[in-house]
Amino acid sequence: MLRLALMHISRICYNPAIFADLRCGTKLRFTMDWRSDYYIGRREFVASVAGILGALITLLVGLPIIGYLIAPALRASGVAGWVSLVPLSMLQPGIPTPCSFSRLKQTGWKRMQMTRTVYALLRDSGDVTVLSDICTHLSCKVRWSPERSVFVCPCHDGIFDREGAVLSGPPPRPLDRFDTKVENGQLFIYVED
Amino acid sequence: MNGLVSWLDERTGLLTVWRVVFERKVPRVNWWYTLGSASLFLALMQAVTGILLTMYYVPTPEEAYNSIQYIMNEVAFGWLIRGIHHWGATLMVLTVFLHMLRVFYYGAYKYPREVTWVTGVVLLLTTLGLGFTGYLLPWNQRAYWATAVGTSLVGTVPLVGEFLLRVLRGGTELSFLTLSRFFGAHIWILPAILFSTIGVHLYLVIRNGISYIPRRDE
Ligand code: HEM
Ligand code: FES
Repeated sequence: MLRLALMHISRICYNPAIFADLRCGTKLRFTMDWRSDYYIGRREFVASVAGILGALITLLVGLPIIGYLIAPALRASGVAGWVSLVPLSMLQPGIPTPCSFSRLKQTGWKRMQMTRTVYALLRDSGDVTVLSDICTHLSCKVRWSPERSVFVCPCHDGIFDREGAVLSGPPPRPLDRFDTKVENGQLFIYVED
Repeated sequence: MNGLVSWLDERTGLLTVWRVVFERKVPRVNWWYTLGSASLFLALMQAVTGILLTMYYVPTPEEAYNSIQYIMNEVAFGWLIRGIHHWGATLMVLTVFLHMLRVFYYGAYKYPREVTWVTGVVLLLTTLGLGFTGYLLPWNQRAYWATAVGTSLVGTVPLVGEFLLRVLRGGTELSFLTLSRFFGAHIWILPAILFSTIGVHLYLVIRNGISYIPRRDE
């Protein structure tokens, strides 16, 4: 179709006499010597031009539509940075302590305070680990169970120990850890988004 | 390709449909006869861009205005999609109206095309209804007051006017209920009426054939 139309257009450019034929709506005849299967009627010509125009318009609107649909996926919702969590003195050694923090996040046209919980574990040695509460299986929220001294995921019974290592269940890897730093006795974590 | 077509045709009769719809005989006519097809194209365009707009538009007083600002300024090509829908709406009212004028001045509404005309009237009213309900959705000052005025007109109907007004607004005042019922009408009720009526309209156009241009002495 495309080939036919292009051939046709180029031929018209070289041979103005064809316009007369076009207007009469007769089968086109060319003064030059063309192989007979190159002949194109007015019908085929109009059809191919309409086809090309249609394809162009579809492309012209279709490509923007893809961009339009995926737009929110292309923007970050928050800014990475250090977040102040708790004073170290609040942590009980050896037991993961839930700590909440909230950050401003951009969702669509709204900026909202989103609250998150992480678990801070102060070891006897004095260093700290901060664990995410998002299960590494399919991202349900894990909860520290003081009775059993493990993290329990309610969705598919994933069990993690106090260090975040998998004890049983489907989770493929330990709980994620945050980078930490301590300034003036205050614990900070680095949040990616 | 040809194999596929004949395979399909043998089982579905698709080629017959194609021939009846696209290879039917038409009289020698002029450009005014393209206005119906132009209206059809615009209706489809409005459907596509309208569906896309619902991806971001939120029909509540708190979010409607902001969601449209977001579409215009933040979403990739949001200005294009909304622009097409916005101008397409105006253009569609225009083409539908001109199409009706063409049918009227050529007397194409006469026997046997009276029913085509009647479905056409439904199409015109539905198109106007789409324009009216869509106008409120941006929930800006102009939209709000245009709808306040537009709905008030209904209130002047004798006896039942006050009741109709409350039905239209979902209460005595313009509120979030007005917005959500206009939204429901704009994206579900009126398009359902429009496209099913277009189906009947086109069936009749094909079934009765297109009228020729009347001669001077007719
Ligand atoms: C969404 C709106 C409409 C669409 C998509 C539409 C579509 C069409 C199409 C494609 C045709 C074929 C001939 C032509 O294009 O002129 C047609 C014919 C016709 N239309 Fe419409 N139309 C619409 C609105 C109307 C209105 C508002 C009226 C009148 C009140 C009307 C009355 C007719 C009649 C009587 C014919 C037959 C004309 C003839 O046989 O020459 N239509 N319409
Ligand atoms: S999501 Fe936690 S176990 Fe499946």
